[in-house]
Amino acid sequence: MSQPEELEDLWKSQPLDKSLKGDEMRSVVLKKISAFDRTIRMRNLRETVTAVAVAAFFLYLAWSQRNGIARLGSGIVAAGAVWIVYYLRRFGTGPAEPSPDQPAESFRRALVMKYEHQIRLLRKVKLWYLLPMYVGLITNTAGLLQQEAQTRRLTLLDAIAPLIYTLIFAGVWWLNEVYAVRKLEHTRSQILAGFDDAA
Amino acid sequence: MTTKRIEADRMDTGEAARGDRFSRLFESYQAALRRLVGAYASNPADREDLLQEIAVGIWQSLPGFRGDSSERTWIYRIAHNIAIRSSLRNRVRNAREPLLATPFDAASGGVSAEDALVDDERRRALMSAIRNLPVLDRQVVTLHLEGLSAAEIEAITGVSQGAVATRLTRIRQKLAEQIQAEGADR
Repeated sequence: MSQPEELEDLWKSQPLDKSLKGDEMRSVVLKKISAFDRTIRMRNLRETVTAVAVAAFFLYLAWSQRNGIARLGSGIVAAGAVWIVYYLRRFGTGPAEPSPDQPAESFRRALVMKYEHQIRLLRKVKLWYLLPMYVGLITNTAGLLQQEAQTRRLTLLDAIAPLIYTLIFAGVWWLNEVYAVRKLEHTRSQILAGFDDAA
Repeated sequence: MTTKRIEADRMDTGEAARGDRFSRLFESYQAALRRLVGAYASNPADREDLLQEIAVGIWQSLPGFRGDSSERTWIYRIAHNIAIRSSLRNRVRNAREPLLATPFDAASGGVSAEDALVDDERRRALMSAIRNLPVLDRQVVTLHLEGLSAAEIEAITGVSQGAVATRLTRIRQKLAEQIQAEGADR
């Protein structure tokens, strides 16, 4: 079995999936490219619409709330939503997708750069994503509680909402900066090792 | 005729030439590309996805092909780079081919059904063993089995010609062991 010719014969005689004509594959390719472009456009649109909706809602709160601290918090969240979309557009894409017709070594280097960009982006997630929203929500809640304190005595139950925000934000932080970064670093180390241990 | 119109006509002609060239290349290399995707994915849907991704890569890279390398080296380079990226992204590698996932070719060359079955088992064992190799070994051995020279393999994978020979000896031994082990299991 280990004879080279035998291996080659076995390899070349494997049954293949149904073949396509060149023109058929060309139309599949064009459809795929257009579907990909549409997906990217839809994703960008979704992000922008969400940011505008969040910003509009919190701007409305900032305008309608009576407490100054709560208004400030709502304003921070509104600004934070716009900032996140700006940051994603400006810094989110990173280096262009590496061209696949380059030599393996430079393709790998370009892949590593892509992964490093994603790792850097995720490592800073607390600064560009979580911090503005968290500070805004906590400030808003503090303002609302200050307002409440004028009419009633605050209890431990009033700490539940900020505690829930904190837990959710901590979870998002962990998923991005710990879990996702660890996975990306593992993949990056496989590429750097030349895929010798990637099986 | 306006300059804009002339420019548009030239682009149309360019696109048509690109389309024709793509169709010719795809038809010439389709069988080799289909064998190659089999080394990365056992599931037919995953194989088709990977093949389409490679076809997209060829289409997008075509305008930049200046003939610095041979057409064959260029195509395999694209295919292997995309297969690597895809295996990192989709984790389709290493999946073992399910038993009797594809029909065996019992009618080929007038061989008996029993011989065909034995050949089919060995082919299956070979594919399974190749999919279990580290990615770089998988690239080297599939290119070698496609009949590429050590120099061409170096141009595609970046592994030096000397290292290709050493690797191939080790890989062949590993494949033989795994195929034998699979044979003993069945």
